[in-house]
Formats: sequence, structure tokens, C-alpha cells
Amino acid sequence: MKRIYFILVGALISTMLFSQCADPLKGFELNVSTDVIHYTTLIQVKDANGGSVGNDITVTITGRDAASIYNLAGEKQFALSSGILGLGVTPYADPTAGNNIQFTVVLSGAGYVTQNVPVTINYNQFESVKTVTLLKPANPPVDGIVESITTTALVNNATASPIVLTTGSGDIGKQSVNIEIASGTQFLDAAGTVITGASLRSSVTLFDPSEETALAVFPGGSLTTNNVIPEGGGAAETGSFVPAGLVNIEFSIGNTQVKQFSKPITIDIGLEPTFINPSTGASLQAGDELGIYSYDNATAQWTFEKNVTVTMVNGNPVARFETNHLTWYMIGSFFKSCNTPLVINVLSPWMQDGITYSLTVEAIIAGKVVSSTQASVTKENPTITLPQLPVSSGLISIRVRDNSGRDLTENEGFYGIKLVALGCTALPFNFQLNEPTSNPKVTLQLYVRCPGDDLVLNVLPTFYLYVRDRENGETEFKLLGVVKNGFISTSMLTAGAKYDFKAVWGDKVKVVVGKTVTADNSGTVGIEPGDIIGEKAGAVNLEMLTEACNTIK
Amino acid sequence: MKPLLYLTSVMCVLLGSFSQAKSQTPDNPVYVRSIGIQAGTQGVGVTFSVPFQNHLALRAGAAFLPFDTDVLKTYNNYKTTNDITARMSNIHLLVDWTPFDANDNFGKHFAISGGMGYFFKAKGTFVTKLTEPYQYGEIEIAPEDIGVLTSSIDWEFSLAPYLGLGLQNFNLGPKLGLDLNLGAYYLDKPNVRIVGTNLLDGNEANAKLVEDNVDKYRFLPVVQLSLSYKIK
Repeated sequence: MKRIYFILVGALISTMLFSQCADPLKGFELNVSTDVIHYTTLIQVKDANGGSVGNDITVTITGRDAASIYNLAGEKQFALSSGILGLGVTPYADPTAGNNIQFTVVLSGAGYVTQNVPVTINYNQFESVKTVTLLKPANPPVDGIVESITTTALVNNATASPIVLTTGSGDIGKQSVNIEIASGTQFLDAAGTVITGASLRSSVTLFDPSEETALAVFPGGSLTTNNVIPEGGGAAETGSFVPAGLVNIEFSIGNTQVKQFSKPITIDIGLEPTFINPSTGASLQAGDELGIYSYDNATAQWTFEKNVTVTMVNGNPVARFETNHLTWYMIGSFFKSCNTPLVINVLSPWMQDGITYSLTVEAIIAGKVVSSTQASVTKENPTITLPQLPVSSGLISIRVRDNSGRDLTENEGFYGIKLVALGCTALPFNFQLNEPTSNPKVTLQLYVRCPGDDLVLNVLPTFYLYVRDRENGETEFKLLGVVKNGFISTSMLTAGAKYDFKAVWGDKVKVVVGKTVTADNSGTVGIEPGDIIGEKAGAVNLEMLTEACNTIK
Repeated sequence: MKPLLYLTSVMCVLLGSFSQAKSQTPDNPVYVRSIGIQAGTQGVGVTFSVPFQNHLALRAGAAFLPFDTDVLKTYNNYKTTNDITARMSNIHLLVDWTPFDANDNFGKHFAISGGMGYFFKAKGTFVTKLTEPYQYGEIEIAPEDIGVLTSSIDWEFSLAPYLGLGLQNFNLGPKLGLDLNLGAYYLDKPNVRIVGTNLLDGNEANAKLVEDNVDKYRFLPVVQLSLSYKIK
């Protein structure tokens, strides 16, 4: 009996000892987040006519910090996907309070005017969206842009008589361009060599600065740029242009571009009649002085050429000047930016906890939108970082729109809230906005289950989500917000309505069409019963899911 | 803190009483009053033993386990190093029973032990780091920048019953004895906490899985050798 008792107690203790041998981390799913890139920017590229540019646009990244820029999949291959280019900064070069990131995106494509888009990413500006418009001169938009192409016979590689090239002739209001070329003028290439040929092809494109469609193709895509050699020379500055006139002049003989002339040519540019001169605060008058700036496509740099005195011809303001080279010319004002980005805080009483609001913030000088930023804010994080702007000029107004286009600063006037000229400051300007058109809260929650797993992923990457209300006639996607850990809550959707959604994650763009939303929407991407893998492109989606899971696990 | 005060009070009263007892009862050739040092799976410590009845002795002690090691392990496809730290500190009060001490053979050393331990610290921590860079496209993230995942399993401040077997008081000399004890404490259910930093943030959901895995981790095994010195 004693022996049995001992055996029983021994067995009990052995069980107690050896039951502890299981691995406490058995089945542990170690996930490494793919949110490697902290600072991202999306560049939406569209045709000046509002259509798609397709994916045959060549993208090149140049400039000071180009080496630190990757696509959102962490690769050095840059291409548009559904008109969107996603870029990010390597985490080893994140911007700091005193050191922003600057680079240039060069967009070129057959038939399009090459755009050099300067991009600045500031400290704490984790997400940003920029829209760039490409112009196809052969197919310009109806409003605000007119191109004139002329062929002139040459004798002994020179003009045989005085030539006057005219563009406009009433097509864009009363503005026009006249170019006078003296008899005997020879045409030189970039190296200064006379170009030989029997005919001169001239292309003159005039842009009406009062038309948004025309300013959308301003070189660099924005009136605010970071590469301007100002009056007096020196290093390139960041600042904003306020144009009264804009023209692009291109000459060629055969296949050779004309860059210089043996004799100066004279250009008369008809300026915007309703232009408000920022220096005087009044309409242009004879005797007003404006700056002439030229643009170098190769370096994406604006350079101050000279000042010009405005004259009145038949009651219309005109800038007349001589030049010996061809390029883009901007006639107007330039204001140097502060070194710190402009930060605004839009915390307003109507904001609700946890809801994401998609806003467009425009900085305006003398009626011109010099900068436009799309932002996604919440009550918890209501600050928006805008580019470096000439805040100290005291001329900037801020206008904020919701994603339906409604002006949330309309109480302050058409051009929004005038910033008090405090000088350059890193402190935020606080605005209270009108309540946007909003609906009861709609939440979207996405889960992801990797093939072969029972549990959903613990770690989801941040992605941009766009929406289009096609049933109400919208043709373009608008930013709904930035989705963090698969979740977004918004008041911009109506429960029961159908929407198209576009998600941009890494280098992937996924569009889902005609989805009816409810107040609470959740779904799991995966292949288990009840999961979503897509009806139209299930195989492709599964491939994407598997590839993505392989990077996480 | 009430259980700790209670256990301490009981130990003091009992040890105070029995320390006045004879060092060796005639009927109990195994037990003598002794002090000693111990080492084993619950760490190192001190022990004090007092016989108080035929076949019975009261044993009190304290143990401290400082345990550190590194383990290489692969989770999913990630090679990791895991810095494992275990810290266990307890005081205990046990009763040893030698039912066969009347025998004049090896069996007289067998003992059955029972009692309680108070764990004022019982915690295991795994600090997991990747050993190789993480590749995101063409961006290589160095292991030190990926972050760390700290998983902790905690039984702190718990009173635990003990049951065990032993071989007691092998004479190594006129004053020295050797004891071997084998048993286990029954601990409270542990708490599991997982915290990730940088790119390992978001792994907290694994806490439930680890909690399920360690749900059976209620028995703390004890394999312990004690060297005792007989005192009058």
C-alpha cells in the first residue's frame, strides 16, 4: 500500500513538472509592419482637359534629395498607376524641424509639355496630396489657353523681312502676344551655333492667368515653387508668383530647337485686364512695374530677367520687352516665402471625435491660388501643414473647402481668411471653419487575413482612400482620407448610397465600383468563407494579397 | 499584502516555538535542527529546518532566481534573438513528513512535503529582436531600427501551495547533511503583456495566444539540493 501511495504521489509530481515544457510562444505570429515609410506624398496627374493621361508618362525624380525618394513600395521605380504617383521618403532621411525634403518630379510623355514639379515635404507633414496638370498643346482646354503655330520661310538661314507673329486675336479676351523679329535675324541653338534650314516653325502658347485651367499647367504645377533666382541674383529661393501674363514660346528649324537669336526680338504680352497689382492693391495702371521671369525646363528653375513698365494699348495693359532667348515667360510679382512651412489649426466646434474630414486648403494672393493642399484632419489632429509661403507679405488669404467643394471660410469673403501679417512664424494660425456638408457617421473597417491563417493580421499599412459619387455625376475621385490600421470614420458618405472607392497602398491602386455603404461597414480580405477576395479580379487580388503577406510575415 | 503578512506571522510563531524544541527527537533519526543553503530550479536561497513531531519537521526558507539567457528562434520567416529574463523570489513554509524513518535502510530518507510559498516576484520577460535587416523594397532597415517586442508573463504577488517528495538528511559528516527535493508550486493564472516598438508595434494581439499557451503554466517545478548544517 505504501509503495502504491508513493507511486501515485510521484506520478502527480512528475506530471506537474513536465506539463510545463510547452513553448509559451508556440504559434506566435511575428508581424513586421510595412509602414516603413513615415512621410508620403501622392501626386495625381491629369490632362489639362480633365481626362486621364494614361500610364505612358515617364517619371523621373531629380533634385537635392532625390536619393532619399522611393515609391510607396520602397523601390526606385517610378510610374503612374491610374494617374497616381505615390512617393515616400526613406525613414533614414525623415525631414526634421530645420531640414525639409526637396526634390523635383519630372513628368514627360508623347505630345505633352514636360512638367517639372518641385515637391517639398516638411517636418510633421506625414501625408500630402498634390494635383499636377499636363498640357497637350495639340489639345488644349477650351478656356484660358490658346496656341498658335506658324511656319515662316527663311532665306540663307535668316529672316528675309521683318516678321510679326500674333497669338490670341480675341480668343482669350483681349489678351494676345505679338513677337517682332527683325529682318536678317539668324537662329541659334543652345551652343550658340547658327541653325541651318529653309523654314522656321514657331509655337506660341498664351495662358490667361484669370483662368484656373490655364494656371493649372503653370510650370511646376503650382504658383509656389522652390527654385527661383530672384531679382539681384544669388541662391535659388522658395516663393510664390502672382502672374499677370504667361506665355510659352518655342521655335524650331528642322528638328533643332531655337534657343537664342542673332538680334534681339521684341515681345508684347497683353496682360490680364482685371489683374490686381499686389504692390498697389489696385488694377493695373500704365506705369506700374512688374517683373519678368523666365523658366528653364532643364533645371526647372525660374530666373528674374528684368522689370517691365506696364503700358496701355487701346485701354488694355501690355508688357513690352526685348529678349535674345526663348522659353516660358511670366510677367507679374514674386514674393519670397518664409523658411518655415505655414501651419494652420482648423479645430472647430462641429468636429466630432474620431471622424476624418477631407479638406482642400488654398493659399491666395491677389485673387490667385498660389498653393492648394488636400488634407485629412480629425478633431484629435486638426493641424494642416502647408508649403513654405510668403506669410510675412501680409497678402495671403486662406480658403478651405470640403470635398464637395463648399467654401468653409465663405463668411470671411470669397478669398477666405486673411492672415494677419505676423511675420514668419512656426506657430499655427487657428481658424474656425463653417460646418461642412456632412452626414451621420459612416465607418469603414478593413481586416486582412493571409491565406492559410485563421487569425486576421495585427498590423495593417496606412493607405489613401478616394471616393467617387458616380450616381450624382462625379467623374473624378476625391480624397476621402488616410486610412490607418484599416479604419476610417467619415461624415462625407451617405449610408445607403452607392460609391466607387479607390485605395492607394504601396505601388498598388485598387478600385472597387458601386459599393453600397451602411453606417458600419467591415470586411475581411482573405480566402476563408465570408472573406472578400473580389469578384472581377479574384486571382489578381489573391496574388497581391499573397505577395503583401509575404512582405509582412 | 495580507497573505504575505499572514505567512510571515505564521512562520515567525512556528519557528519561534519549535526552535526551543530538542534538536533531534529520539523517534525521528532523520530530522535535526539545521540551517542551510539551497540551489535549484527556484534559484538559490537559505533554509531553516526544525523537527517538531515524530516523522515531521517544519522547513522555512527564501529563494531567489536570477536567470538570463539568449535564445535564437525563427518566427514566421524572421530570425530573432530572444533575451530571456526570469526573476522569481519567494519565501516558503513547508512541512516535511518522513513516514518510513523507522526503517534502517535507504527508505528512511523519503519525505513528503507540503506547504505554501509567497511569490513577491515571479516574472518572465522575452525581449525579441530581429537578427537580420528587414527589406522593404530597396530600403533596408537595420535590425536595431526595426524595434523590439517585449513579452512578459507575470505571476507577481501570489500565494502558492506546494507539494513534493524528498530525500532528506544524507549525512556528509558530523554536522553536514544533504537534502534533495522534487515538487511543484501551484501558481495563480499569469498575466501576459506584449508591447512592440517601431515596426514591431501591432503584435499585441499575440498576447491572447501566449495567454492560452501559458494557461497551464500553473505548476512551478522545483528540483532542489540543500546543504544543511546541524545546530543545537
